[in-house]
Amino acid sequence: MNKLYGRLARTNLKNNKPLYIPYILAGVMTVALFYLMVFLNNNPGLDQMRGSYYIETIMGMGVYIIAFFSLIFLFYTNSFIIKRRKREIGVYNILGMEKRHIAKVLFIETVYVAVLAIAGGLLVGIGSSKLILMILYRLLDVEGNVVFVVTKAGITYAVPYFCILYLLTFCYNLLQIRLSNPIALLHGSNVGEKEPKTKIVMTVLGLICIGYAYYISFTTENPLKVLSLFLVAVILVIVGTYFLFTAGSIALLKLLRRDKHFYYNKKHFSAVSGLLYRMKQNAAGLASICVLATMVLVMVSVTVSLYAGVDDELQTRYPQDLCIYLNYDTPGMSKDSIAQEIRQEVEKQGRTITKSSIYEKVTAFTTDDGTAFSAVTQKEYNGSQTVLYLVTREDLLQMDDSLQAEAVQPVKPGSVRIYGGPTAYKADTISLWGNAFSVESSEVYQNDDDLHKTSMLKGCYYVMFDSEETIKSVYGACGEGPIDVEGVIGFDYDGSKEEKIACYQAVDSLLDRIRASFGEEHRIDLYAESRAWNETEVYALYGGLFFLGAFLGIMFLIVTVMIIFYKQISEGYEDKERYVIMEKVGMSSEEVKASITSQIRIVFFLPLIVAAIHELAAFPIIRRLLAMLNLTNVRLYAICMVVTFLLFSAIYYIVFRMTSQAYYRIIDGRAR
Amino acid sequence: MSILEVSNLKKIYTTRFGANQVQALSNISFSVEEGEYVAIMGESGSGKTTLLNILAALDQPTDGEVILNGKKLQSVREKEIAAFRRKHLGFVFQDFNLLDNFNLRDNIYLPLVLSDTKHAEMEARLEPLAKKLGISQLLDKFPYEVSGGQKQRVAVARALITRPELILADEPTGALDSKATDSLLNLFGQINQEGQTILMVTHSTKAASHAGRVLFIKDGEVFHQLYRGNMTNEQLYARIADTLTVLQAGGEQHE
Repeated sequence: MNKLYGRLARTNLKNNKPLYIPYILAGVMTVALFYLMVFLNNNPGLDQMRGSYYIETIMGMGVYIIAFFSLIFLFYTNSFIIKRRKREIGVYNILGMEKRHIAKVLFIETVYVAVLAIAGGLLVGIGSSKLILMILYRLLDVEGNVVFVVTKAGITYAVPYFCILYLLTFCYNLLQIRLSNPIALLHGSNVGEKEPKTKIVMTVLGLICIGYAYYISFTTENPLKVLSLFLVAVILVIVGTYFLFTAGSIALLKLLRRDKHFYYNKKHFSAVSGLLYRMKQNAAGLASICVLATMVLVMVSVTVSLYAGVDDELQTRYPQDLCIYLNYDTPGMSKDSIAQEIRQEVEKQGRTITKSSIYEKVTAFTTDDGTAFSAVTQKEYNGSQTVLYLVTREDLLQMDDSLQAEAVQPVKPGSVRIYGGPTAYKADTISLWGNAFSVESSEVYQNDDDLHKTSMLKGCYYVMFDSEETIKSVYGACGEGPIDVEGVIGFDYDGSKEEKIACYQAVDSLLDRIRASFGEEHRIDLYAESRAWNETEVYALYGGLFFLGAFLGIMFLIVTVMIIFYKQISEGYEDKERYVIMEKVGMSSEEVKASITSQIRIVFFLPLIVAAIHELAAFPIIRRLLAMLNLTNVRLYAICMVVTFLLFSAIYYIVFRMTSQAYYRIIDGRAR
Repeated sequence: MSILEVSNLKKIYTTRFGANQVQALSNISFSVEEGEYVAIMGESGSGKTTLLNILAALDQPTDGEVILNGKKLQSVREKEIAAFRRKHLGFVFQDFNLLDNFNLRDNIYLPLVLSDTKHAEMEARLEPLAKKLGISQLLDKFPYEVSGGQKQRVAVARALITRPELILADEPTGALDSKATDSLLNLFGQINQEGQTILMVTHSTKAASHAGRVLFIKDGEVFHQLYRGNMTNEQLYARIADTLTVLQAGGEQHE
């Protein structure tokens, strides 16, 4: 008897091959991705790397995201399949199988599917793990021997988790069967839906949600708000998209239907009413596709551009091979003598200094009315603040070696020259904490670092004075507070990455000795930053993000493709009957085909177009987010965005072609 | 003048790979005059549906020809066939074949929309028709909101709105209860009185007893035909019943 159930289950799976093969394959991919995430999270080789903390955090997040999406996704596909199979199950019921017998068959089927998906997924995951690790090492710029290991955690997490998931789908199917009688089961796959009602409130709400999200994206400049508001905007867009697709599409279609000349036209008649008829169940699917597509586009383009721009970001964040920062709280500490000591140490390490700079930077966060600047009490990046650097001509030339000495003319006592951006300083005078100066000249000037800051601030200006004494008298008037006086000593030198790191470590211990020499009672603010030393961590962070972006991109893409596929198939079966009738009433097969094509096109390209609009609207806020992550290269991001979109569209189009062929096959198989 | 002429119609279905041949129609000839109301009766498997499909230009005969209003059906080109059917034929089916995604009004408009009729013209045609069929109040409802009898009236309206030369009805009362059947048959009688030619294929003696002439088909041939003459519906009903008895008994004797 039990053998019979097994055979029945196998036959069922075989007969429903077109439905089950994609389902199982998608399961395999999901399990494989899950395994790989856990594998990267627990990899002993990665553990030894500096910055592995980032990788582990990022991949740990990835595990949860993938776990969450596989839950939704498996349920979604399963419900599609069981809806299609209700008729078949109804026949079993009528032929005399009790519901518990059917449950047994369904259970065996689920076991088959689960075993195939989990075993297959683990095989694929383990099989590709070495390759994936090699790619990751490559991305992170890590030299290392990649050894083949099987992560036990990957298996011990994946197997129970996915077993539970499949068990839940089985329970869902059971519930579907329990709740219905045989006649209902027989008709289960083609229950006529009532025409949806127009929901004006929901449509308007959807428009408001999306409108406000776009408004946030275009107007938010305060960097602290950018991060939190970005999340708000994402949620608004998701909610708004669902509202617009469910209610807005129906409102629009009804509006089209009201236009008699448009509606009673061969080209639109059946497309409009067909869409309207099915929008209720369709809309959620379309909105999901749209949201997923937007996520893929934004995530992949952001992570790709971050990774592609990693050298720029390093350069912005660490302008020189070695930078030493010191604050002037300590009497007797002079930047020149410290610079001298460091220079000796660097040379002792065998490095040749190619470039050096030494300057003082007085940084003040201010608010202004255009000409009068006053200090703010809080030091934070804020869209209403302007940052001022009070410098001498020497300082300015040291700061940026790309400035020509002739281009920066000296300035007379009592006046200043102002360099900065985003726009040139306009007035003839400037008042700083009550001290008035006349402005001799002003020019637009931005270096990489300022570009990064002006993305978060109102402006960023270098105010050039005649002497250090003038500067001191200016900020002295302001007293303690939001003013930073900082000495910066920078060196560029030759050598390999390892040599540079060794040199940094030597300088670092020298700084320890200097700090100690000032005694316990002084708080010495003196520290060094090395680009080579931090490079590994930056690569780990951005490489890890890039990796996660690619992984989740693949995952979302699979989900999108599956939703499209099952939607097409199930609609094909539903539409089949309609087209049989239309042909009987006098529609030619060409007209049928044309009408199908136009309907499919709308359903397909609508989510893609809306996703593209979302992505474009997100551009300003993402540009600011990237600037906070030191990526100021807007062009790079724009290119990444366009390339990602084109790639995605290409894949989307291929899926479209394949699934519409499946759809045509179903329609064409109609009986006369 | 005869509106439909069917001569020596023959249809042989060949199974795949030509292993078996099934003769659905062996030799059918008859003609329908303008304004006539003809019922075709026969058992399942007698070839009724095949005949109807050929008359509807949904299927091609193996031999013989169908002439509708002077035009040979087989000579209509494949591309024009859909338009031809829309223009010259109206269909009423057993299972109504209304589309759930259209309201009743749009269901009726469908053939007109397909032939690019102006909206004003469509409205002008629908109004008197809907009144006659008693469905004026229902037009904004959807098929799943009305009864079977009402659905069939809508289907009749859809068939009539193109003003076809011939209405082909395939078991129009098959899915209706007796009250709805009576009212539909009365309706058919009424539109026939107004000059509409109707050809109805049916199982039901009652449905056939409303026609002006009844053709009996058996084994792919016209076996017999009855004219109403001066008979009432009840008298015709009795004659049909007698004929069917002979038909069936005779069939058994042959075996």
